Amino acid sequence: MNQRNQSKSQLFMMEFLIVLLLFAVCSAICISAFVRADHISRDSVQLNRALTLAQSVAEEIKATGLVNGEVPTYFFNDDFYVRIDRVVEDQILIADITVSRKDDANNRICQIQVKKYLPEEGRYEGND
Amino acid sequence: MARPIKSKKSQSVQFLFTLVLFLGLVLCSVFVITFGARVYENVGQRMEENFTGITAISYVANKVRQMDEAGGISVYQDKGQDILRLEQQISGKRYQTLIYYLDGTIRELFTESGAPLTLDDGIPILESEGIRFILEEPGILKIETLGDQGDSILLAVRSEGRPL
Repeated sequence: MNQRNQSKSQLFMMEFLIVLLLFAVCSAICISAFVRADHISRDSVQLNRALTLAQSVAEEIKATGLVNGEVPTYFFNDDFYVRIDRVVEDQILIADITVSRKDDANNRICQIQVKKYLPEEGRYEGND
Repeated sequence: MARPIKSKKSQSVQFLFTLVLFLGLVLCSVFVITFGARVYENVGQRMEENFTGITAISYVANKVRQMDEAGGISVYQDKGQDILRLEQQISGKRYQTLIYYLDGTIRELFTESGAPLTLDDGIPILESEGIRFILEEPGILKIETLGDQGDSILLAVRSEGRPL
């Protein structure tokens, strides 16, 4: 009777351990999914803000046709590092705007290109 | 006689071990649920921030781009609020779209120029803490939403815009 009870309890323990193992596997999957969701949502907020900033810079370049000196090649704001690479080809100003994290300039968040026709291309004195 | 005592002891140790395991399982479940709930809450909050920060700006920016014609864009103030006026001509008549903030919402009023409609008659577009329009330089319009989740964008206005 005692032996039967013991084997029953061992069986229960085995079952319980299997349930625990299953739970551990499921929670590991869930936690990794949660962490990924959190990262994706953070990245999406950052991408949105970076895109708004890049669009603003692009619109500024489109409005003013800045060629020399008026817009720095790069600048920082609170969270981002913005780099503007400009080149003029056949009277067309091509500006590549790259937005990266402020703390890690190599970690590019987004990049957009803006083009503007410059009728007075002669004024341009080279890339800075 | 010593055997049943030992067995009883081992039984109680086993019971205690099972209880501890069960407690561990409960704690882990609570942790996973709390963690998941917090992540869900954060994701929701960020979506809300994105919505309030970007949607209003995108909406107004699209309107401005749509109606960017010579002399068609102007900014003026009424009751301490910035009002963006977008004018257009349809079948020979002048119409205006006013975009402004009133009573917790960004509103839009589309009317024939000179019609006796007031700012209260505008259609609420979305809830916000406020919106500002600034003509920074000739040709650059800054749209700024106010509040914690506020954001701003610069727009190149081909018609150059004009403050009234």
